[in-house]
Amino acid sequence: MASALTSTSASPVNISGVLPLQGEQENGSLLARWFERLDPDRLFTVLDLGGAGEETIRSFSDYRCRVYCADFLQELCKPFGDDLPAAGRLFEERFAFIGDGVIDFCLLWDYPHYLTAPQLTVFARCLQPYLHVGTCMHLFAAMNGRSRIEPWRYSVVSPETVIRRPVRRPVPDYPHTQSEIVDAMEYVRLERGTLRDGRVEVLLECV
Amino acid sequence: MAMFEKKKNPAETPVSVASVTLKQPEPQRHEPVSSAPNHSGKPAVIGTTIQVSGDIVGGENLLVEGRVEGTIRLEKHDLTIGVTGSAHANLTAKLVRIEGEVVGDVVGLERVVIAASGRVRGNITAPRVLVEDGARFKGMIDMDFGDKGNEQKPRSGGNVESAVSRAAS
Repeated sequence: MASALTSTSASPVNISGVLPLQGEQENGSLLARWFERLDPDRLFTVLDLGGAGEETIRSFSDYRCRVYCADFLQELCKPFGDDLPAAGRLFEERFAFIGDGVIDFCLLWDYPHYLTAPQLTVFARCLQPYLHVGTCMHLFAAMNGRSRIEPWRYSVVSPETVIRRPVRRPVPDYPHTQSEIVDAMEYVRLERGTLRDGRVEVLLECV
Repeated sequence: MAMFEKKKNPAETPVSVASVTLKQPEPQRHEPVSSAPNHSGKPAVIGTTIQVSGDIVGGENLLVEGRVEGTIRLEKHDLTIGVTGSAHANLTAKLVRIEGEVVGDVVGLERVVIAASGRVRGNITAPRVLVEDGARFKGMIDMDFGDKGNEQKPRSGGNVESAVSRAAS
């Protein structure tokens, strides 16, 4: 289950072949594993909570899909304090743009680490109505509580490749481990692969 | 209104504007607005000080640097919302490029591009969508033209009230 992933500082050539991508490249396996499951004849839906990344949208435009974009990492970073009802109202309001949509795949990136465990539970429960059994969520987590999660902006360049770039954002207070995330998000089961420097690539599946 | 009137040309789709508001006219600064069928490749321009409320239908490319509320339909041509442009409108064009602000739904029959300076709130439907780095977008991007095979899946349960109470417990 656990498969080694690599991170390199190479600057791969982008899809148009014109400009090199700045940022570090992460070659994971769990994202590719999800793409491999796709039925090319069937429309799928994606929720990207990291904003509409250039490479991400370009990558998904190779598929029959709908991508719902909201930049939670920019807009809802450390927003609530201990007011869980306020957090719930805010999450509900921010997810409302999905309308009647149902999400097949969710790119959480490292957003859960900006939330306390109780806030993460509220977040997960507000997201749940837009998911179905079999929905997968991809995120990065910490190997353990001492690992540091740097504020990155991620983009999907291809099913096998994610690019990360440093971004001006507070460092997360709560580098949750994968088990803490699964505990907070009660309706998921875990697959994982390891990354370097104490981070973990996580694929969650709704059950 | 006269500045929006086009010379009659059966080959061209007319531009129809329900109403036009000139915001603080500046006589010394003439913003170009196409008054003739454009065969030069240059787009018609709605200038920075011009506000349009209503429906715009056209048979040539259009650049909006002012403000439009309503709809814009240029099904065989390109539409650009320029850096100073603002469209609180639903947009349809062959190619839509957004460098300014759009609040509304956008249909690109071939492609939609949100430039780095672009800010969009609404849904985008196009077979190809490009969001340049730095662009701000909130909404849904539908890259499934034709809407085939879109099976609605049953949702999971859950609601905010129970989420909060469970998190607090």
